[in-house]
Amino acid sequence: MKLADLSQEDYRDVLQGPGLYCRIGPFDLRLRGHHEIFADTFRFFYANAELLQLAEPGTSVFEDFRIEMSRPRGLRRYLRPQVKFTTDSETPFEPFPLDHSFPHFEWGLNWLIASRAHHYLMLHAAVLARGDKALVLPASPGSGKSTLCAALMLRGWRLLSDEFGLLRPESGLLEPIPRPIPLKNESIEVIRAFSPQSAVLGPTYSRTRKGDVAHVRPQVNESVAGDHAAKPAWVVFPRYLAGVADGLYPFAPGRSFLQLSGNAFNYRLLGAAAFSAVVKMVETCPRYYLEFSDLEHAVALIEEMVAA
Amino acid sequence: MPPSQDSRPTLRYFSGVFPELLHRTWEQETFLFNPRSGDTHILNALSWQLLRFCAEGPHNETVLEQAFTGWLAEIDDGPPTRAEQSLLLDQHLDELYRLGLVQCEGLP
Repeated sequence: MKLADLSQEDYRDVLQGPGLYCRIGPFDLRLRGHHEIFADTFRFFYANAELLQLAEPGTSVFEDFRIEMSRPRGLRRYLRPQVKFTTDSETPFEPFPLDHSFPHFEWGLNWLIASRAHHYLMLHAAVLARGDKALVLPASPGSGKSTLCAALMLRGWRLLSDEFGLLRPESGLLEPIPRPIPLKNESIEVIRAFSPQSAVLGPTYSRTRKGDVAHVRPQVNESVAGDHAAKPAWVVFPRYLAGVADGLYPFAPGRSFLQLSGNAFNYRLLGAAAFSAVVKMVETCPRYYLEFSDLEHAVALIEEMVAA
Repeated sequence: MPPSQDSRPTLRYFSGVFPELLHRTWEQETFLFNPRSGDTHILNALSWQLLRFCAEGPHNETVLEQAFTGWLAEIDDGPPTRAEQSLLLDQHLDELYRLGLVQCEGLP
């Protein structure tokens, strides 16, 4: 059963009551939320999340993350209302403005994954797939990774992840965790213009610490929804540069190793397993550096690479 | 005991610390996982050759210098004088020692 299958009334009851028990990618999440701003946005973006069976009273279920989005007590309920992110009875961050509940949730979930999911090598990379073959786009912030990722998804690629390339070191497979793709500032209008028919964006959050942010809703592009792992098949290091002539260039294995390991959140923590996993990816995948200023052309270059 | 200390013994023996190391060589650079520190090091061809030779040891400085001179002769821009070669060997050994990849024992 998907979240979208739940009636609005049942959804609200469970979200405000025992908590919504659902699966996001490989993670089982118990989520409580007390305000309609958050509830509506979460449902909009995670309509395809699988609902899990709540435990019978007196029994327990396994949860990777337990999150509550609630409003702080006191004057803040009335004066510039806020929302706080609580996990396992801890509130690790300062509250956000109430109307920024959803980006606060996304940010908090990123933090939880980055701090706990060490059974994966976590690459800072967008990952998309054709069938079981994954295209890995590792990049630093500001490189145009999310914009390119959204564009490829809108052209039919299966979204595995925009933020975390979750690689299982023992199998070398990338796990899907299709979540909303956050776009910043000019990228918001770029994607609207890129695919006006199919790009579904949520509200724009103004004046966040990263500027204006809007999320693109994950799209289900293949008959089997984005729930199966994929094998790394291509690695492309994207970089957006205004006015540059678009080009896709072979990238040396040593430099690729440095970029991949340097962009992994937990490379040092995983040690030898991470080293071997990155070496394997470097040696089994063709690697390229993509410099682009024209999104349409960048997508075409990637399609040509895949066809070749 | 660092290899370059002034009070070093007259003859030092160097050997590798780890019997096996995870590594890959691409285009004259070797990427090496250090199991003790968790670091990944990038060694040039000369350092990698020296480390592998030490791992077959222990070898004393005289033996190392002979081998090192031979490797340098294969490199076009190798330093011309023996003193420079010796200095270069010391620098490479110092670096491998600092990274914890070789160990040094001095004989009285």
